[in-house]
Amino acid sequence: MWFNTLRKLGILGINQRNADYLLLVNPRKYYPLVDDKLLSKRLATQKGIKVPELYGMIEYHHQIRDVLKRVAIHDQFVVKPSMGSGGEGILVIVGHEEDRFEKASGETISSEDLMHYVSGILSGLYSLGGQDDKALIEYKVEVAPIFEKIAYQGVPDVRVIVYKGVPVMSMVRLPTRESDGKANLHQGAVGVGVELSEGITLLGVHHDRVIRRHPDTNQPIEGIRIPYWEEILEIAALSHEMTGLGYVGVDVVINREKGPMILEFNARPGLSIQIANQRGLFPRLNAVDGVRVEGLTTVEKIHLGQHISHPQTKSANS
Amino acid sequence: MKDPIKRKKGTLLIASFFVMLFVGSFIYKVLFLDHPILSRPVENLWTIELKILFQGMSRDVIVRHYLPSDDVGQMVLEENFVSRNLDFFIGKEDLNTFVRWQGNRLKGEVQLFYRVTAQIRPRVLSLSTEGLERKYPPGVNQYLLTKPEMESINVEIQEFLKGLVGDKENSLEKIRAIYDFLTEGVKTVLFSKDTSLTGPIRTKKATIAEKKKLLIYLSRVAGVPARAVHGILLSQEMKEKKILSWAEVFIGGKWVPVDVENGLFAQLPENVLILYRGDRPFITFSGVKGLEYRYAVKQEKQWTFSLFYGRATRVGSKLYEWSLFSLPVETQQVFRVILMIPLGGLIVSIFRNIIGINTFGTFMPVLIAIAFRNTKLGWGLVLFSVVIALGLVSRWFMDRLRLLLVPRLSVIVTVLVIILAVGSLIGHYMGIYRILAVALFPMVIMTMTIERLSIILMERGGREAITVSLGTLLVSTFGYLAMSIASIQDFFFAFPEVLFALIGLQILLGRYTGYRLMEYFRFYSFVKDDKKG
Repeated sequence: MWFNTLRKLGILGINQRNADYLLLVNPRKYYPLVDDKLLSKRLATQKGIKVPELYGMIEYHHQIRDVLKRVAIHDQFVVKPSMGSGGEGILVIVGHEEDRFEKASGETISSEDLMHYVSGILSGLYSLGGQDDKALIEYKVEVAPIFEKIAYQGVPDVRVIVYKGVPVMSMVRLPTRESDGKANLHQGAVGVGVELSEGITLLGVHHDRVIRRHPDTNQPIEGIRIPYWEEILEIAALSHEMTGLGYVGVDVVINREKGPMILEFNARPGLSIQIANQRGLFPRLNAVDGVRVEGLTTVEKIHLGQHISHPQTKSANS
Repeated sequence: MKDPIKRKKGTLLIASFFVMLFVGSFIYKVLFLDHPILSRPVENLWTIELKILFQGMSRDVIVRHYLPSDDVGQMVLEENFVSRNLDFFIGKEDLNTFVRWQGNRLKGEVQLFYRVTAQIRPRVLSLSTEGLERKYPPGVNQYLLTKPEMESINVEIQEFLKGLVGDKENSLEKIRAIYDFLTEGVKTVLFSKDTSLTGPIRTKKATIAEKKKLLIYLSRVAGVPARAVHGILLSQEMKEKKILSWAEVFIGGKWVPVDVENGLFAQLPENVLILYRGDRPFITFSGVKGLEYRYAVKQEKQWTFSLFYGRATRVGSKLYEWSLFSLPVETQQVFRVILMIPLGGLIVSIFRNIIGINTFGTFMPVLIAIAFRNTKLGWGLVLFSVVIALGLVSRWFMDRLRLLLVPRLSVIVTVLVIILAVGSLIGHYMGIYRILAVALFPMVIMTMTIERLSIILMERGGREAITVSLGTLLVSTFGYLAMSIASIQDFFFAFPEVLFALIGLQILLGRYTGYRLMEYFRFYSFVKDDKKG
């Protein structure tokens, strides 16, 4: 029967994710750590994990002019709200001279415009519920060459779902014209499943539909090997310790030269990742629950994740 | 992680505990307290308000009148006695109940009010035909007595009856013959010259009052107990209001009404409230002058629940004291709405967690549904759509102006107020009063809707915002429809313990980990592939 199919395939539904996982393993008190990007950045840095370098942070309106003057030594930078979500409110400056700042789209704005923009962030224009926010000015990530020709604008990132420190599923999120350079699936970005053992891409999902080519660039998205894969999984496995969340989605960007960096954490990661992987999360989460993961090392956790997602590969190796 | 099965059992236990709380209390109220289950309109419920007016003469005042009591086909539910300067005592006299108002040295105009609510049930009369009655039950025999001073005319009447009834043994036939004589053999006149009791027999002419009196007298002499009955015709249209009277004769062990005035034999006039029996006047008084009385009859629209609690008040029941019906009327109205909020919450839970429809916030749809109560569904939907459209336009517009969140929301609210004011004016001048109700649409709810909308617009884009708006509209509409069903409101009000059952259901829903209906569409690609493979 059709209504049995999802259960049979082990698809995790929202109700089950919330009731059986989020409510049990994600203590509410840790949510602010992941909702505020400044705090997440500090957590990652403490663990020695790379993040896009913070050039400056603006908390009060009177600081805007000074801080912008200070960061102007960098040619390129990104301005983002600390508590924004869904990639909203991010401004990418790709070059500037004197009073003109060039945006990623090629349009230029004056420094007056830029100051007004920052002031909007501080007033909570982009934060959840409109509360006062901080503006972060940080290093602009250089897109890794492998993604340059597939992705349309913006920076793709790798989303890994981590359960009790074990990476269980992963996908690459490619911005599209529709998503306006943002890597958020419900804004129209493409999610491409990644198998965990070697980091090779599978099918893609766009608006919950399976696709094989990028809708804008028409490049095939299957069979691409993600660089720095071991490192990405290591970062993912550590994100459990960093955030205290048992069920967390970690977003990693791959910088052209500096390798993987943590962009942000998500305490309620979406479920479309299952479509991109054509696999349900439930059997993998169940497998993790069947093992005593507390004493495992990071490497062991990564291996466990690879094993439960590709049992046949593992048995072939051993 | 705790054992999921144990956890599930625990929730099930707690949930059923709450449901049982409701079931237990419900069964107790229905079975042991006779609480009606559904609130239905009570048929044939009438209120009679009697007003007595008189001039005091600085003397002690006594005013006495009869009161209706429970009788065949009638039940007295509520009585009120109101007077500023008289005390009242209720007494019994034979079959009748009366009230005696007393006051000392009253001067000027005095008013008394008596109000009674009674339920009238159809009076079915099955006439038994065996009629030979030798013995009557005690208490009935007195209705065979004829007054001693009339002994002389008794002879005349007996002679007359011999001709009329002959040797009929059957009470029914006897009365029928008397009735036929009075209705057909005697002409009704307004004044009669011969006012003696036997006048009509001789002149074949009589007033209505004389006919009535004669019917009773003839019956008694013929050996059938008879008595006079007085009542009120329950009709709102009736202009001239007087006390009705007719006769009752005892046939086949039953009192059978006979009305020579309206030509009803063995049949009671419909919609009559019986007041008292006997020959005395309805109202007697002393120490007053210019006494007059009038009464107003009104058909009541009351419901079984309020009737039930009305009677519970009369007997001073604890159930009434601790029910919501004991609250002041305005507070009751408020609570009728408040009690619906959990139901709305349940509907939202079902739509969100089982069907998978996204809405603005959790309780926004409930609040919007409540707001729909003022505007009614049609205008509510129109207004809500205007709000959504305004939100979308303002986003586009404010994006260009780059306004901060709070001032931006304020601008939207201001525009909204202007639209409401203009809309109300247009409605007023065009005579469309429904539009005026739009002004009642709570501003706070609209503002919150806009704020939610703008957050979703920013976080998730326009497409999602429209989906969520439609979802909110859908859930609000269902919520409104469910919450505005009068019988559900009545039920919740009379059985507020149903909220425990709602808690139980909510707990169950809270542990529902199955798929949402919409997820079958979302993960359709799996289902499709599964079918192929």
